[in-house]
Amino acid sequence: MNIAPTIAPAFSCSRRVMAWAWVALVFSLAPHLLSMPPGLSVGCLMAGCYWLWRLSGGRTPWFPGLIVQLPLLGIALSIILAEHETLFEQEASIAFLVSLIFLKMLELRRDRDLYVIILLGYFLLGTLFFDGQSLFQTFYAMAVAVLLTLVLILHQRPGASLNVCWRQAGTLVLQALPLTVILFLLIPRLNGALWRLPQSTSLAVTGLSESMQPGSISGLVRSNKVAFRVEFLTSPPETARMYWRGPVLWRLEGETWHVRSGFRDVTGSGTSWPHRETKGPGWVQQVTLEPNSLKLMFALEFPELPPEGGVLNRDRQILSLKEIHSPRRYTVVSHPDPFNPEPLTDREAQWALALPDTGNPRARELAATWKNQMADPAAIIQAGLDFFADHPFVYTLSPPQLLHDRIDGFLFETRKGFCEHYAGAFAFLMRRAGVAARVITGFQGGMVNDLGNHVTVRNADAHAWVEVWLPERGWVRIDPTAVVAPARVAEGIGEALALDPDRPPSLNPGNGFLRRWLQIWDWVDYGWNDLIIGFDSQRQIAWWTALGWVQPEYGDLVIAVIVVALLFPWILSVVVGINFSSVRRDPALMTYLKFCRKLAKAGVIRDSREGALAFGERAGSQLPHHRREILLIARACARWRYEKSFSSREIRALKRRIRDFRPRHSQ
Amino acid sequence: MRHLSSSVIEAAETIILGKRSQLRLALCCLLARGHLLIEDVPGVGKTLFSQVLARVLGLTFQRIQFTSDLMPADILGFSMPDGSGHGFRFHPGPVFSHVVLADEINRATPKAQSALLEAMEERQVTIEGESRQLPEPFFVIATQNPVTHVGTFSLPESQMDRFMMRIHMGYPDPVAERRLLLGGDRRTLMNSMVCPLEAGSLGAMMAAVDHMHVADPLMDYLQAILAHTRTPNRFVTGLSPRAGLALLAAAKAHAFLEGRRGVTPEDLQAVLIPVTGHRLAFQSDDALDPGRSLLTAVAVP
Repeated sequence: MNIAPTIAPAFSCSRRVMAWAWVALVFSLAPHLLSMPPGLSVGCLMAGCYWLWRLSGGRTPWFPGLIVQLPLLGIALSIILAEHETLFEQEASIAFLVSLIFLKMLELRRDRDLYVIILLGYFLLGTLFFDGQSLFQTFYAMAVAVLLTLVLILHQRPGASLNVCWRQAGTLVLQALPLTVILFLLIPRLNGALWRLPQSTSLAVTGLSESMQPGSISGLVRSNKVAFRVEFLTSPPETARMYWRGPVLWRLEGETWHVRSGFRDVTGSGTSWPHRETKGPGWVQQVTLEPNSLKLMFALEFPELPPEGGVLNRDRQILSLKEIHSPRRYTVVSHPDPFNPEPLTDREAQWALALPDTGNPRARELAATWKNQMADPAAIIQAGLDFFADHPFVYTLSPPQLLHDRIDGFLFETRKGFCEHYAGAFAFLMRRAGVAARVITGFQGGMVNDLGNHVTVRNADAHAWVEVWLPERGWVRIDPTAVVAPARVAEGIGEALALDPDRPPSLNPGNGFLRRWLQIWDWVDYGWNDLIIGFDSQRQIAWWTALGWVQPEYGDLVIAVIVVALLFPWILSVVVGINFSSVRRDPALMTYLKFCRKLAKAGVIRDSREGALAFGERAGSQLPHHRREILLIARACARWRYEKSFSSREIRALKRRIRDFRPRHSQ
Repeated sequence: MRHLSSSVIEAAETIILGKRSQLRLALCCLLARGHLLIEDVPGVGKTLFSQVLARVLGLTFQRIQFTSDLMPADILGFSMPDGSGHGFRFHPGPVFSHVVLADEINRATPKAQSALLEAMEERQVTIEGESRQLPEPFFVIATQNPVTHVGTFSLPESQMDRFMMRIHMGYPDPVAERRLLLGGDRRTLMNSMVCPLEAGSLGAMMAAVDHMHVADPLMDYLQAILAHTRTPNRFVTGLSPRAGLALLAAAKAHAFLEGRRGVTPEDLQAVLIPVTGHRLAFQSDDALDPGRSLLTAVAVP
């Protein structure tokens, strides 16, 4: 039999494959396109158009070739370097990878090129998780993985219908899930991210910051991003009492409130709050904090002890030792009643009464009259609150813009403001009236999710209030916003702004059905964050210990991963093998294959397209010493497989013959 | 029974020199009740080949030279008044014979071609409303000049499919050609030839072919080949079920000629190129023979 080797065609991508490859690439690149330098995005679009052009015409494809591609690579590199100044940085390297993919798209000549592009597409999917690991991102990545797999299947099975290929691609990705779960449970967690590329400095995370000016909180309210979620291990307080303490602002410079100096210094002496014995039950909270790129950690007022990895400063605010770039879980106990205070230090008293030298004369005048009329600080505070209650103040997200003396303008003219206006103006008045005051920023309220039994606090719940110093009681919380808009504290921001025409749609209270779905989604998202992202090395070890593997070390886990990697293909072959059992159990074939293996060791390898007789002839001519034996066995094998009557005695004889067959190289 | 077939081939080989493989394939085709298409340039012994084949098997032989003015009646026969004035008498055409040589079939018009091709498929002819059985066995050998020759009507694919095999004669090798040139006239030699078969032997051989055992792995191989030809973007059309039947029957006949008790992949491979070669065409112009590509593309299970 003369079997000439076929020459595989160089490029066999059908139009269908190319079209789907295009779609798959668009989906895997889409999340990155926006964050890339615009020049690159345009280049990528052009490469995509080139691909479409090839799809539409494609009779004689035109390849740009190195003369075009090298300059393009140069341009891409210079754009990236101009934007990021280095390649060894997360976004810059992703942009570089993306531009390489598009350059590769310009030279789709052989099947191999398609494989490279698809492989890079899978790789790019991995980079999707640099930005975050939310449930949505995971589902998106899985969907795109199915798409990329589909392209490979379409290419391998040109005849199969699209439906069949979809199903196969989906099955393949689903089949990878068990392995993913096993590896997820096994791969050791690194507490510091060893592999992480340097993060871009420009990567700003929206959230509460360490200063406050008019507009900074109302701007934040438009964001529906989750700030943190809290699970109460004791019974939770009612929403109106949920004040989540954030940065404490002491210094007023112009219009902007700042934290006191030394605020960020978490290791310095004298910054920590002395621990005291407390009486009565507290609220035990388990907080899952979303990354905020700062050192801010939040808890209900007033935390008793700092959680692990944080300190409690003299402002009774929790600060993380490290900047928070990944979700973080901690447990805090808070007590509603402030502890017996230490007296104010001279410096603190000075800070808490300081005002800018000039500006807002009418407010100063008003506060000065209170100071002259009343000696009791409590009376002054009440006068301040009454001022807000007695005048037609409006709580609104979009107050009129004021240019000069904004506190005056707000208190006496527009009388429209958001919590930062009320808190800022109230603190200003108190300081001028001789009552030590400071502004507290943080969050108030939150969505109680009865599904997950947790409270979800979003950026929209950001709030600002005031603390005043009463010598006999210490720092006391005063919320002037509550006087103007009681609903803000009692029912939440959505209700408080119900009549505000500028209310962002994310704050719409919605009907019960929509609200229910939001709760379900929030619960699922929380569960994902808790179970998947929160699965750190401690929980990993605890999990395995609970299963009976006591305290596995890093090394043990690594060995387990290797064992799984080695065992999995075998398990898979056993599982899949069940489907092909009829082929596998054909004893005639097994015997013949054993014979073939013996010949292969002697250097004669069976061609898959050869029948037993033809192979016997060929092997016999290559191993002339064994020619007779080989022919006998080959013929018997063929008879066993293809003839009706092959007796068990003949089978035994054949098996014996093959067992005794010891071929040697003829040379 | 194998000695019968080998004696047939040996007898034929005394006249037709150096064409052993063609003789075996032709015999295969006949035993599998298929028809044969020989494609080659004139003068390589196509006519003699068929005559000898009929002779060694002890079958009647008729030759129809196809020309552009050939009418269906010239092939099938016709009725004419019998002279007594009472009725008509049917004059059977040359098709009523065991072996019919349709010489240069592509020189005739499609109308005449289809008359023969219908007879091939039905193994009976209908003339003036009356069906007449053709003799059994009925075996058509058609010869065809390569289609590039002038003045030819090439057979359409649907009719090519009716031929079980297509073979090429080829030029004789130097040794055979020298014997041919020095030896006596082939036709006189043929006339003196004796049929080595007894009456009924041919029927028994054909029955043995019909009952040849086909194992499951071989059916897997056959179906893999069929499936391969039906993969899109490869061939213009895949192999039809009729082609699959022809392939199986020819492989059975080949196994019989080899003296086996079951069909092996080698039997299938031996008849693969002649059975599929004229039924397949690559979509793209590819120099490789489509039949041969099946050998290299499909693995033996």
